[in-house]
Amino acid sequence: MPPRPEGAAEAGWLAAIELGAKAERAESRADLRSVHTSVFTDWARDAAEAFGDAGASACTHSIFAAIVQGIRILDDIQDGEAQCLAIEVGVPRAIEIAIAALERALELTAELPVTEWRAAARAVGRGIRETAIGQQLEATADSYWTRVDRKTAPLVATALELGALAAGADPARAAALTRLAIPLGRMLQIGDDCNDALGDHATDWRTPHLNLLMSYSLAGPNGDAFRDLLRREAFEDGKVFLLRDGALAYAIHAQLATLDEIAETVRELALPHPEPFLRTVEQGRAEVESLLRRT
Amino acid sequence: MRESTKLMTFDEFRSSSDVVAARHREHFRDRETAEELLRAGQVSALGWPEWPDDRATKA
Repeated sequence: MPPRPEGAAEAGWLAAIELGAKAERAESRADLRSVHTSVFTDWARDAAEAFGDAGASACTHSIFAAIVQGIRILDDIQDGEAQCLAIEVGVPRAIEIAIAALERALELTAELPVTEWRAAARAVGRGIRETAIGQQLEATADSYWTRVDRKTAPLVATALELGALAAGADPARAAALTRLAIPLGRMLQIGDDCNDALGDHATDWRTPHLNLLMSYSLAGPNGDAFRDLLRREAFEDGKVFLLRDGALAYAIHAQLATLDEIAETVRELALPHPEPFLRTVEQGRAEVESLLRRT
Repeated sequence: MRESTKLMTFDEFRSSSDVVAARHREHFRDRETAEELLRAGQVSALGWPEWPDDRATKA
C-alpha cells in the first residue's frame, strides 16, 4: 500500500469543501463559473419523474459524472488505494484534476436550463461540501450508520433535489424530497458492502471496520475467530464465516428496514408521482425474497 | 397493512426473538448452504444498487 499523504489529501478535501461553500454562496452564474452516469443520475431521474417529467433530468447527468470523478480521486488518496490516479500521476496532480472536475460540475450547474438555478447551485455545492466533510469524519464517526449518513446521503440529496428542480418542481418541494436521501444512501451502502465483502471482487478486506457485515462479526461473540481469519488473509473462509455468523442476515434485515423507511417517507411526501421510488422499494424486497428462495 | 421493520442494532438482532430475524439468522447458518451461495455468486447478484463502480477505474 502506498504511504498515505496526509497533508496533500487534507489539502484536497479542504479545497473541495471550500468549492462547495463557494457554490452555495454564488449570487450569479458568473460566480459559479469561477469556482459516468451512476446511481445518482438514476435518482435524479426518479425525482424528475416524481414531478411528472423523467426526461428533464438528463441535463444533470454530466454534473454527477464530474462530481463522482472528483470525489473518487480524493477518496482514493484518503484511503491510500494501491491503484488509483494519484499513484499514476502523483498526489498534487491528482488533486488538481479532482478540483478541476468539481469546478466543472459547478460550471455545468450554472448552465442548467432551469429557472431555479440558485437552488440547483446550492444543492450541488452542499453535496460536494458535505461529502467532503463526511469523508473527513469517516475515521472518527461513532457508528456505522452515522458514517454512512454523513458520507453517502449528501450526494443522494443533491441528485434528488436537482432532478426535481429540472422537472420544474417548486424549490421547497424539491428540498423536501431530500428526506429520502438518508434511507436511499443507506440502501446504497448496504448493497455496496454486501458486494464488497462477499462478491467475486470483494474490496473491503483491508478496512473491515468500515464494512457493515465485517463490523457485525467483529463486534460479536465470534469476533476473535473472524479476526484470526483476517490476520491469515483467509478471505474465502472469511466470506463463509460472515454468512454463518449472521452478518448477511443482519444486512438483509437492515435493508428491509431501510426499504420500509423509504416507503413510509414517500407516503408522507405525497408526491405527484411516487411510482419510481415505490418501484425501488418493491424491487429491493423482491431481491431479498428471491435470495432466500434460492437457498 | 403489515408493520414496518424497525432497524435493530447488531446486539438486538443477534438476540432478537422476532420470527423473521430468527429465520434470516438461521437461513445461512448451514455451511453447505453458505458455500453454495458464494460459489454461485448469488450475493453479488442481489441487484441492490452500488456506488458507481470504482473497481473499473482501479483495474
